[in-house]
Amino acid sequence: MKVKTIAWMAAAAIALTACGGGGGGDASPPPTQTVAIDVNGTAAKGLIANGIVSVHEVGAGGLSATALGTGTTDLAGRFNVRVNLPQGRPFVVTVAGGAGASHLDEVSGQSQALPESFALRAAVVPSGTTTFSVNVTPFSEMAVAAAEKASGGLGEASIRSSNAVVAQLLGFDPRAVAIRTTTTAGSVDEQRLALLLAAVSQMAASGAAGCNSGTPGERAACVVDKLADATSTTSLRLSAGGLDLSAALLEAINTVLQQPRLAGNVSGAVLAAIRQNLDCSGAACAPSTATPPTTVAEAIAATKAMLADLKSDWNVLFVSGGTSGVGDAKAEATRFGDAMRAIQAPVELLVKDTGAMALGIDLFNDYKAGRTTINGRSRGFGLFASEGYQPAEPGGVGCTVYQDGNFTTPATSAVNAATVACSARYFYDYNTGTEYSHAIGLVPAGNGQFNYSSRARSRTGGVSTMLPTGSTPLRTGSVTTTLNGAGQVVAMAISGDLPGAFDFGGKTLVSDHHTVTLSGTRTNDASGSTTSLAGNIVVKNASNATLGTLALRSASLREVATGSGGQLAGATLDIGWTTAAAAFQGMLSATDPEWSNDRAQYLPTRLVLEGTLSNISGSTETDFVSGKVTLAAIGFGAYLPSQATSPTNFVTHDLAFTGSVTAPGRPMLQLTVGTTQKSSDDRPGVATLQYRSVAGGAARMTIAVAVTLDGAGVPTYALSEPVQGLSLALRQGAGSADLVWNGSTVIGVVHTSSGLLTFSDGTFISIELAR
Amino acid sequence: MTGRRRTPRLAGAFLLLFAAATVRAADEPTTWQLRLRTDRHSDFGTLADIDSDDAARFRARGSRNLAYLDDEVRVERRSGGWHLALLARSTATLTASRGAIEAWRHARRVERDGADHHWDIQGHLRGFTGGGVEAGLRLRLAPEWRAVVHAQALVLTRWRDRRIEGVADFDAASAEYSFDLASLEVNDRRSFPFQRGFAARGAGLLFGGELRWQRGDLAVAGQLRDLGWLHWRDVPQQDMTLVTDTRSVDAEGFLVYRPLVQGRNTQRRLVRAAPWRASLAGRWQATAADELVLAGEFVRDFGVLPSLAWERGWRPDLRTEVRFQLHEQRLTLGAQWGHWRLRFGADRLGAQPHSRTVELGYVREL
Repeated sequence: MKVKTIAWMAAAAIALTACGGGGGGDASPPPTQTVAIDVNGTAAKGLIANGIVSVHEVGAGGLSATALGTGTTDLAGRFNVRVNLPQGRPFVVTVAGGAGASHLDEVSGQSQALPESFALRAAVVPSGTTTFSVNVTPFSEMAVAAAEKASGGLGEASIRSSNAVVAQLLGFDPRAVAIRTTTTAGSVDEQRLALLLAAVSQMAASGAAGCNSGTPGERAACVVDKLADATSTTSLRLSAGGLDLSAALLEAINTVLQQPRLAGNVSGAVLAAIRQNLDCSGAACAPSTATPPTTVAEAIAATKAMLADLKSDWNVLFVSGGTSGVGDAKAEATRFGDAMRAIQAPVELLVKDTGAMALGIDLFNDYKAGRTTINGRSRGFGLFASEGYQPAEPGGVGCTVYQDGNFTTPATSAVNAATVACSARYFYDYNTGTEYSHAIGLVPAGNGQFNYSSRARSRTGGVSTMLPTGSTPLRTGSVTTTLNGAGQVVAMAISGDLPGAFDFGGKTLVSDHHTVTLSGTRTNDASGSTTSLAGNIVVKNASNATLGTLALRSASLREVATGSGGQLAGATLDIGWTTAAAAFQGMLSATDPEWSNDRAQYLPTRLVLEGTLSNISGSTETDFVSGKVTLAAIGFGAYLPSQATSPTNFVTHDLAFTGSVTAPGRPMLQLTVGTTQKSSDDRPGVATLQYRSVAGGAARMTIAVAVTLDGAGVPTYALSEPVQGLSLALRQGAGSADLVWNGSTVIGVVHTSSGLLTFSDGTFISIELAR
Repeated sequence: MTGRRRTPRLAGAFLLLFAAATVRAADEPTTWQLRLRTDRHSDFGTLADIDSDDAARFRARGSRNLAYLDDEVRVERRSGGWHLALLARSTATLTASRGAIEAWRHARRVERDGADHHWDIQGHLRGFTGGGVEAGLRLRLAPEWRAVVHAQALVLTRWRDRRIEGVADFDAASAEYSFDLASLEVNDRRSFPFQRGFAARGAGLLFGGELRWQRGDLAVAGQLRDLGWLHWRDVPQQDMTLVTDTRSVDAEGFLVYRPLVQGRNTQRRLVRAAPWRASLAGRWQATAADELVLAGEFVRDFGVLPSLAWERGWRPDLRTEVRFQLHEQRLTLGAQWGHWRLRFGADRLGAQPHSRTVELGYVREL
């Protein structure tokens, strides 16, 4: 009995101690337990060999000077150090240069000695495990440097926030991504990190940020230091001491991307968000003020809030159909969509119909003057939509000189040349051999003036049908030209009506006719000509009511002379488009012309549309979307248009959109989208999206999405939220996917069949975008 | 809450009665009995439809609709007023509102009339399967009073209890549904992520009894069964809501859409009152051979199931029964002939009954 009593008392005393009790006496907190942990990872600027590794505790006074443990990186940059660390205490891993230390420089491909001044760090807040994998790179160093500069100095909170800021900037946590080369990188994040490391090398190689002296290793150390100095927890913008490191890093990224040897398998699409973040301004540079979660419960709550925001944005912006109370928001999106679709048709008409007139008049004048004996001319490879097999694409615009006003007998000589007729093609159905076009007949009226008549038509086997089927009148007007001494058109004015426009990429008429008032000049030079235009195109319905007005404030079209008459080499259009419900103001430019491999085609390889779309309600105009779409054709110089597109004969299209969207009742959204697709593939190889909502000048949420295809063509959707440390990767066809927090802790599972996300605390929610 | 408290009290009263009256147990000869019984009914479809989950054939019969299943196999020994039985049983009761069935048909595109609809939805499925022992005692309380009490101890192999309540609407113009539904479910076969291991079997402790009063040709008997508790350690449970009005405004004044479905999976030791039933029957000995019986069985969440019966004793070893259950619209014929007991009932002949009962028993005196 006595033994039992004593044992019970002992047990009670232990329990009281464990509960923090004790009934008085020493009130000091119990000593923190020390645990043995393994710290491993890879260190890279390029991969660092023989780097000196040390692990330091972050205490109340900041970084401890005494290393808890040390080690050395192997030739592949790997390290593994075991240390005894107070439980839960943050720590910093440092990899330094010195005697024998070197890194494999990406740009030169050479091993470069690293001086003692070179050091990279990575900071970690333990999460309860005893093994930590942490990669040490210039980007983890940037986070540590930012944490040191944060209010309160280096500590758990600043480490969490600085790592979150760097993750927002890059779209991934550099400590957790495997280090590969640009040719061996697999995942999108691996590709990003590989290219960024190469970009840092490029900065050192080019002497960026003033790092233009010393050994290559010293320049690399200098660049790392400059980047670290420029990083803060208050902005995504990298700047310090008057140096714009964001611009320098962006330039280096672009340089690396343009060099296939350095870019390897990495396309610009995967860097779209990073490039946008580096190029940020104003509120777009504001990092999230959200506190990174420190517990699973907080991470779960953050996930639910994030998904609610996603659903809310989607509902307000993109879900069609009205339900009571949210019709206004959806109407904004609907008007946006309608306006964007409506603007495409008159812009295409402007380029093609006016281009056809200019081409026809040039041809007529050249033929009459004997500068050419060929009575036909065409241009505009691929400037029309089509369906079906394309054995060879005819020109988008083509003209023929005729002897008669009915445009039936082609001219055979300058003497009998009397008129010219042109066709501006909008759609070609290869399945039926039907062309959908505007036919424009031009009859000279003296003094450089041409009267024209035009119609929309479909033509199959040489038989034309007026569109819309029935009694569509011819649309008429006049073109007044001014010639130079060589008989070339140097000024042109168009006044009159043109036929209705086909829907963009289709064969359906979306308007009845257009009223056009345009004037411009053309400057000829040795290689071609530059045309400047200004005016208006008013879109009308069958009742002659105005549907919209396209104001061409200015336009510059660059055409180069080729053997077949000329090719559009570039264009810049400053346009405004106004309907009763919406308005668009912006610039459309086509630049960077390039010859195809066989010099059969000469085309702009970069298309940019930049502007702001506003919704109009009564007298109130509300900006809804502003942004920039960039489409780049890469590899056109190696492409052979005369041969079928194949895995060895293709053009790579990089599409990027950056912009912001605002809908009533929701925070502003900043979107960056990037996709890459080879013309030989039927879908993009990779697509990335960065999605930030901004409220009160700070990011409320940042989400990065990447879609990649595996070898079997099956897409994997990877979603991550860098501030909260959340990530999820779902392969199409898979039944479920894990929601991971901080790289390793599974806090939820998504089941695709039920659409439910179940969290580790037992709660669950449905995931749907609509409703 | 009230019912949860009442159940232990009633069970306690049964136990007291059990204990106090054992000394006055009736003297009866020792018999062995084997009995197989199946009793199934559905208001809103044939029994085959219920099994096949074929919504096309479901049709609400009234504002409240009932389906039940009660299957049992038992071997029983009676002696000296006591009985002891080994048994295996499966029981389930589903009650559903008219709105629940009509909404189900509508959602499965069985019935679309192009009109707007509003449905009040209530559904409750309770059932378990298990096996165990039953002990019981016949008591003579007073010259005109008799009682039977019994207790079952069961090992549960299946337990399901799901309640769905709320409203649903269909807007024909937009062809959209809206819901405000809540579901609570206990289901040993539900699986979900992060599920912990749980007991492979549950347990049930159920009490029942009958109190009978007889004077002259009249007798009245009240009966209770399955009064007690079901228990399963860490059995999966799921609480869930489906609400289509997901709009709200957050603390910063932004419009926020919540998820359509929210809920929680839990696993904890669960003890819940069993789905008890009660009945009341009046008997009139019309002649020396004929008895007329008027009875009503009370089903929770539904109401009373009335029945009429005529029983006739033809000779000492032959007795017949004709019973009509009004709600089930089921006619049952039964006979006790020597050692054999046979009962068969259905609401219609053929292969598509809504209601059917079959009972076969063999009693042997030792």
